[in-house]
Amino acid sequence: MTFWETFFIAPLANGLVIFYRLLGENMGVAIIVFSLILKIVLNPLSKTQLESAKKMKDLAPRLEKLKKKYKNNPTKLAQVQADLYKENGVNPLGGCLPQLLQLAILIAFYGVFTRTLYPGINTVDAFNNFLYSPLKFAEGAAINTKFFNLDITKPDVFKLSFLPFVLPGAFLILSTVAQFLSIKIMEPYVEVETKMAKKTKGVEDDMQVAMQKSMSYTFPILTLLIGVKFPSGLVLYWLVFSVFQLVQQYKMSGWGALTPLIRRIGLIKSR
Amino acid sequence: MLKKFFSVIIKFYQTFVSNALRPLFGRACRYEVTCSEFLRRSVLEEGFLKGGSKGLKRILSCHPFSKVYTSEV
Repeated sequence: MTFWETFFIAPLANGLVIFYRLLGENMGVAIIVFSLILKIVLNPLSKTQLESAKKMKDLAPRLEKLKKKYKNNPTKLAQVQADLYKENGVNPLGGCLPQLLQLAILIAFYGVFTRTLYPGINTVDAFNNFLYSPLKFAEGAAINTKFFNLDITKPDVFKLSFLPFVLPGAFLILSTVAQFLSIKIMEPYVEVETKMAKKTKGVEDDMQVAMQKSMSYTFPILTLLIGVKFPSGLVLYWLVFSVFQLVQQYKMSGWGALTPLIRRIGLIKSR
Repeated sequence: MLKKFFSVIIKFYQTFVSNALRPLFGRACRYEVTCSEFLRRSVLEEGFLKGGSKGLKRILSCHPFSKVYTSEV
């Protein structure tokens, strides 16, 4: 086994199997619960992270003033800046390392799926390859990969005889929608007037801003396209990931760019 | 010439990679200009050796135990 498999894939595979055993031997339930717990465990890391970043953003105008004031005295500026952050409770326990760890786990989880719960792979043998000895499956054992109408190892799609292509199943659609909402909610909600005022930005930024905007569409579409080909276990995991992100972001800074949508739904309800 | 090429690569990273990762994990920069932009500018201004090492130093200073906050280019 490679370094990557030993230290990232194998622990996750073992964790997954522990939950599979604990939760009545259903791989779908195991995936949902395990990815949820993984998110919760990693959450304190990313939470302080996101909160700090948000506070820093709020403090940016004040920092700008300080920068002008201490233009010729960088050491003093650093000092004042550190004080400013300290006063406003910006947690220095942040940085990009926690983010990198999350990214690594995301990729590793994906690796677990493609190595074990994949069409054309003997799931038991593949798992045994990674499992520590007390957890290993017996020779010839079967892993229950049924979850509602899904087979975790196969894509969540169905085919209508008169259509030349497959259609996404319920979980895949749900996952796509959740992905869209979880990105949309991160965009700040700006009223129309402020939007006009913001148009003074440089041309250079435009491409990036446009790119960022289009992400809220690119990612869900990517989810859909990938989901049609990949085992639905991955889709379940992605669903949990997106919903968690959605809830976390809502708790931190409200509905963001979803505000108009929520308002509209609220209006319909109240009528 | 080489610097310009380097700058384009970083721009590509910022537009297509960084922008793609941000919605998944959120923006978490402690510095005002992002590290990639800082590296890009410092390489353009001071060359690969000096500018590059400045950029490297900065990204390495972004960890939970660092006390550095400065962010001028």
